[in-house]
Amino acid sequence: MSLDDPRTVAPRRLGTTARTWRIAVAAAALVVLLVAQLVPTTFKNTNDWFPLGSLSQYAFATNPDGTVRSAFIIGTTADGHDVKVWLDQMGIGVGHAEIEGQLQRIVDDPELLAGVARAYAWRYPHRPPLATLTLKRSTKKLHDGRPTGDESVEVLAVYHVPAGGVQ
Amino acid sequence: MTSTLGRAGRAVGRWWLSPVALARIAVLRVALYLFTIWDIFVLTHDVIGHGYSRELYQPTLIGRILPIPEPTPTGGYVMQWTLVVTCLATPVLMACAARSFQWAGRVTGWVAGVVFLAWMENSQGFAYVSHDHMALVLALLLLPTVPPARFTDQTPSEAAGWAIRCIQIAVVMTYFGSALQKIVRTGGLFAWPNSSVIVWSLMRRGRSAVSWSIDYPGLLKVGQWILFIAELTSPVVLWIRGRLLYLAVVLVCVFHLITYIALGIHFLPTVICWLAFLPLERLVPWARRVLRIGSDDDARTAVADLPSVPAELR
Repeated sequence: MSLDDPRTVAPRRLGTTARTWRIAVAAAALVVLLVAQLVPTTFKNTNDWFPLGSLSQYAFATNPDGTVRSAFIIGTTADGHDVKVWLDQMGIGVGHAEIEGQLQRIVDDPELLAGVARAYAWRYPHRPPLATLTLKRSTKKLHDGRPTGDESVEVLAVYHVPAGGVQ
Repeated sequence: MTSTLGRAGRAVGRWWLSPVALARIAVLRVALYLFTIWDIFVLTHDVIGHGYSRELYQPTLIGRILPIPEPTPTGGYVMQWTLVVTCLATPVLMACAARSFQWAGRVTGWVAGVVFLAWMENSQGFAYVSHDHMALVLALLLLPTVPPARFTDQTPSEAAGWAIRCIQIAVVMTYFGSALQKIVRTGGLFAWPNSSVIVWSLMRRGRSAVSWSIDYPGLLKVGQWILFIAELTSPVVLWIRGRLLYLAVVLVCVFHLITYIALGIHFLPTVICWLAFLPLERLVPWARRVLRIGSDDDARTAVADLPSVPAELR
């Protein structure tokens, strides 16, 4: 019989201090996490409490006869070609939902798109540099939970990259 | 009254600290630290790009109160390679017999836990928080609290039991908490499963989107109901045992595989943490027996029926 056999080994217990802090820390964390789920968003956005914040991804109801809106960024090169800027962790870093999460901020101050232009220049050093970035939003219609094919696009913000690129 | 409260408190303490074989932690360390290395180069690689987009950084609470650096290109690479080194070193050092290696392992373990928290804050601090990483972030902060352990160490330990229980609760809360959010945010029990939220998400997805399922809104609604009910009942896995528990883990994995095929959502950082529910302590003795490494006798006793072990330890 080996020494590792549980039949020969008594459980390793913890002392009072070690037990107390473990239970206290874990219980406190669980309470924070539960409160984060139960506080109404209108009162406090507990996403801020990451990693013990709200688990709110997709936690909303959408109307099967409503519309689906989605923001995206189009870059235009100096010679007028349009490219879609790939927004996610394998693209420029900043993600689609991260642009939408601060849409109003960008509409109020289009200069914030400098961050997108800088990341694009880093990610695609061999592609033609962008002269203009345009933040757009598409609106598609749903009927009975199916897309109808109706789509409209609006321009939300335009940013002109300074000559010589973003610093 | 006091004695009732005291008894309840002790019962909760016993449940939360139920001893688990140390070898389970040793195996879990290998799985979670190696997964983290893959994660920071694929799933949360956005931290590097974020370094170029500082205008859009809006730190979450821990980013404002802890000395977590703002994302910068250099900072991103420093954190990434610190994580590679510490995540490779920790599971090895913590399984060594030499005291000095074990102490080094504790240091690299804490560095990995804290740097991964900072890394994830840099990933999430851009006005959108995804929730598939909660259990993994907490697990990397919990694992260093458990003493060093060899892959065959069957000693039941309360320190290991606490860490395992906490990871299990974090996994379950990822599902149960999100069901609570669906109820709180939509203001009713059935508004969410009856909505068209999955169609909504599919229509917004860009490159690499899986979209065949968008033509079947009825099927997607059934899927929403199954998901919602599964999330609400998920805490049950904290109390079931043995084959029933393993069956539940398999069902969860099948569910995630289906959502990956139908929607392109994989949830892997949470899926890997389901390992905390499995008897990983038997893995190395079992592998030894199958591969016939070491003496046959050794292997047989290690995986033999363990009649004297209390049921909650098996």
